[in-house]
Amino acid sequence: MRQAITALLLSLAASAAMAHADIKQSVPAQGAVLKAPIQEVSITFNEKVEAMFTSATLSTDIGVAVQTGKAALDPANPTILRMAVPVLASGKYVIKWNAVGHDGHRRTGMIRFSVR
Amino acid sequence: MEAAGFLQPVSAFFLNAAFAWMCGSWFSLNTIHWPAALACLLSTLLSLWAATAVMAGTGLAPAAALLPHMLVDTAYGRAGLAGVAAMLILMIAGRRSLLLAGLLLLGFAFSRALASHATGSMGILVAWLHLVLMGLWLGLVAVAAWLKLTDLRRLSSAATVALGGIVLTGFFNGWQRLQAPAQLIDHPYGVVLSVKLGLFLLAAALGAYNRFVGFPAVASGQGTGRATLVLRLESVVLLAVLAAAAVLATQEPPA
Repeated sequence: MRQAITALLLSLAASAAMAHADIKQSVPAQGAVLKAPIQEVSITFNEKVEAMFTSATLSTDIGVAVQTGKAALDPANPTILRMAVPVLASGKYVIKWNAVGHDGHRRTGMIRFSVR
Repeated sequence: MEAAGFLQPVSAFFLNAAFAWMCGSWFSLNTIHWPAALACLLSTLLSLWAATAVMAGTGLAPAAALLPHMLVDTAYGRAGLAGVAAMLILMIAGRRSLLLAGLLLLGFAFSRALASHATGSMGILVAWLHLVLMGLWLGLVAVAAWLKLTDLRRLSSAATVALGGIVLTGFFNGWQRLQAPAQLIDHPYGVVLSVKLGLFLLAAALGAYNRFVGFPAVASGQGTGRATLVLRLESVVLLAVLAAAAVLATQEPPA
């Protein structure tokens, strides 16, 4: 009985996680230098994010918008935001993202990368 | 955006204060005051509207059109909607049954915990307990201070239990949301948490005064004047604790 209670408490404690949505990883990564073309940008968050308030845009480092597909959450895994991108010319780019997690907090950020 | 950033903590403060009053009147007077339930309901709706604006990064006016979608399409909105439903049922049927009213108050607090910084089963459970105990402590003190000073022993025992639980659950919340004790002074969230902690300790000291000095004096027939004054001071300090908590709810914790 005592072991069962201990196991339950440990499992409950282990399920405690970050308090708000944040980036776990992205492709391309922050500061990446790409030598081959990419077809999509993906951002993985540390928790399920709300589709209604989560989006991303792509622009050059001087602010010229790049036409992309609409950023959308992966239906199979709502922690991942995907956005189709065209073939990118050499240069520096910025992905601007915003996301809202279960606590209702709006997080924003930028991922800078370049293409050779 | 600025108006939403102001409305969110202000509505959260009134929501929590009204919730606390209901907890206090439920426990001490075996009743629910419907104006408090109405204030809680309206504050909840305002806080959801403000939250929609904050989530969308817009002003309050454009957020009004998004509010119905937010309530249905997001976990935060669904939790808020559950809280609204609990408060509506409380207003309609809560006065007929004290047990039902108590369950609805617990349900309302749970909806708040679901939309808080807490995550994971343990985090949500602890956040829920923290909200209920904080509401109970403030409610007991406020009702005794401003409405009716009844059954000192029961009041003192319940407040002490609530205070003990708040210390434990508050410690867990702090441990979950701070990465290091130093963040209590060098992170914006930690600074507000430190202010809340200081106010909490002040309220606890006032409560201790009444438990060991004020209430025994009342029991020995020396009048209720000083004990009531200390209770009123304690209730004001606890309202300041709620204000700090409302600001914390809108900030991002470091962890």
